[in-house]
Amino acid sequence: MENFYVVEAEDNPSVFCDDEKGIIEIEGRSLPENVDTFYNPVIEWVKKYIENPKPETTISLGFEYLNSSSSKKILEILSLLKKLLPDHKLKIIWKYRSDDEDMYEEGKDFEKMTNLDFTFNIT
Amino acid sequence: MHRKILIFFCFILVLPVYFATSYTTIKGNFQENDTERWEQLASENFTDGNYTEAARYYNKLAFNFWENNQLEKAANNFLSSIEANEKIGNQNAVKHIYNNLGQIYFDKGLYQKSEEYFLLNLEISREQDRRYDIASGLINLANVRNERENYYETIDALQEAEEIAREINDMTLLRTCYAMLAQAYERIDEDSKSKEYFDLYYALERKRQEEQMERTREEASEKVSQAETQTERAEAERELTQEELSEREEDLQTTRKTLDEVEEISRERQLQIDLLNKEKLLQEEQLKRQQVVRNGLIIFGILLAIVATLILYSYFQKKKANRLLSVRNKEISKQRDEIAEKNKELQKTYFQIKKQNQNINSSIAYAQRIQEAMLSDAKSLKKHLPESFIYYKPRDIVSGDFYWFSEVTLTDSKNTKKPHTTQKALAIACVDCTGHGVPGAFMSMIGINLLENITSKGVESAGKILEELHTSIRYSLRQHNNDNRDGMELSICIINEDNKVVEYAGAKSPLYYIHDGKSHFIKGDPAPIGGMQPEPRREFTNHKIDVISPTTFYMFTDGYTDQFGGPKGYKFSTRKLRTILKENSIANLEQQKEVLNKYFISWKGDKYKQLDDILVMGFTI
Repeated sequence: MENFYVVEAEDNPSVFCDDEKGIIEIEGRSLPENVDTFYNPVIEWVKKYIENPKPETTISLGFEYLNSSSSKKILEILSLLKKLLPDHKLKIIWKYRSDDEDMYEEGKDFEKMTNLDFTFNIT
Repeated sequence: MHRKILIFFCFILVLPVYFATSYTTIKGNFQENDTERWEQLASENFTDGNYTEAARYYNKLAFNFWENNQLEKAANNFLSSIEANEKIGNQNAVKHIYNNLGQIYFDKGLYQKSEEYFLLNLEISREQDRRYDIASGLINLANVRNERENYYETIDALQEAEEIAREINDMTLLRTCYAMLAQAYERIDEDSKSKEYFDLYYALERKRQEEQMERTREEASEKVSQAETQTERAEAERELTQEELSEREEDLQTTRKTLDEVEEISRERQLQIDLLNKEKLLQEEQLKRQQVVRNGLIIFGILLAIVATLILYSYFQKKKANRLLSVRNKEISKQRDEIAEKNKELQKTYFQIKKQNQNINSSIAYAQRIQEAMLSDAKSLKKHLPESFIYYKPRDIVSGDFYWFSEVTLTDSKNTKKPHTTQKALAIACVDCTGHGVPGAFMSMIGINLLENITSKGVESAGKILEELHTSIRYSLRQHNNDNRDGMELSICIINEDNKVVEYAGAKSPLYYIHDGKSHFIKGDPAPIGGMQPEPRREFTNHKIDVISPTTFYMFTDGYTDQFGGPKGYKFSTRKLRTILKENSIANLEQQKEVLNKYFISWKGDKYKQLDDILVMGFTI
């Protein structure tokens, strides 16, 4: 399975999906004009990945901005990854700037919504 | 007078003997070192039996001492020499040394000893039968006897010497004998005899003088003749020279003549040469002129060639350039045509796009009218809530955010939904649909419609409205069997002014209220409306707030709080919005709206664009 990358732009975050290491990283501003075009390939990759996942998977999310449509896509990704449990390990890292309380709250909402354990990291 | 003559003769006799005896004549300073060395050498040689060498060194020493008037030492050394010479039987040397000793003692005035040595000398001469030596020995003996005033014995020796001198015909010896005899006879007063010998002496002397004069004369005449001969030779040479001179004179004259001729010739030649030179100069001048002309012509030719080459070169270059240019021009014109074509196309496309854009814009503008028509009338809100504001700022023409309010009838039952009382309330919602612009607007249409539908049958609670809205959206968009995840986030309040109660429920959307200067914040539920539903049933918390005294409530979408701006380009943040609202809570709500607008504009600045639709609502009960 091939790795998947998207370079960060003004309205989309950087995406880095590494099958070998079992790592998914999404960082930056997420307000693409079309969330489907941007996130569907990521979701497709995750769907494929969970069919043959690594024993331990880490998803690292660090948003500076996350619009409501993007947040729905993130929720979908997290829901897909939740399927790895309990047979595989899943680590969710939520990165946020220390003074970005809203982003921390967003992470907390996701934690509640997905009922998964988040690791909160200040950047 | 006689005495002087005699003394003179004595020396004449003695000195030849003296010189005859000396092998070596030593001159210069007598060195003490030399004597010591010689003495050593003499005695060494004598001891070694080398008598000849010993005798030589003794003689050397003796003569040296004699010369320095050290007579005793001289005599001793002569005696040693005699001893050495006798060893080798050199009687001749012994004879001479006896003579020397006689002489030394004579000088010392020891006449007896002197006479003994002269006698010894004479004895050897007689043995050798050397008649001259005998005669001279006798004269020496006579001399010493004369000094001893033994005049008769003197006369005996002299007479014998006279006899020998006559025999050997030695005039000098004879003359000495006569002189000395004259003197001796004078001493014994035999004047006649003395006179006789003096005359004899005188005659001999005169003869000697004459002979000498003759000799001198002869020598003189010889010199004269020599001189004459020389003069003659000189004369002859002079004559010869004269001849030569005249010859040379002639030669010279001839030469001069020749020279004159030559000069004449050379003058002519010079003239010719000058003429030639002038001609040559003229020719050179001409040549130079010709050369200048030629050089000028060559330079001109070269220049002409260069110019011609340059002209030709530039002509060809130009031609080439022209050719290139024409090719380029063709290309360019072709390109220009192409560009023009493309421009036309672009223009066409541009116009098409412009038209499309216009169409879209007018469509959207029209859509905006529809949306506006659909939106609750903001002004009418004042009828229900006189103290209220709606800060609504869509990013594009149409908005994904919308506000909604409606008079609703409250119901008790969960199931029947029948309005059991006439209790009226005001439902007010602040909604952020997924997406913005047209898709957002579409969603808002759905949202408005659904809210209208849900509330029209009466409402049980704010939370229930959200639950129903969620279900409806999922149903409307068929999200259970497609991957559509659209939906909305919203806050909804039901204001029951009669009971002084405000109900609130939030789908990822908060409620903020200020009461008695105290602020309260309800975050709302984390779940949105619509989209995935992993849980079997989505429920929303219903919050009830009792309003005892005037309380101002605020609802807002994330458009305001998520706006990038400020000095570091950060998001505005919920906290900051809450702070602003709290700080301005005393002001009336219209003023608060103005404050929010000012803050937003200054935060965003010119550097950042508005990222999302903005909606902030406030009301006081």
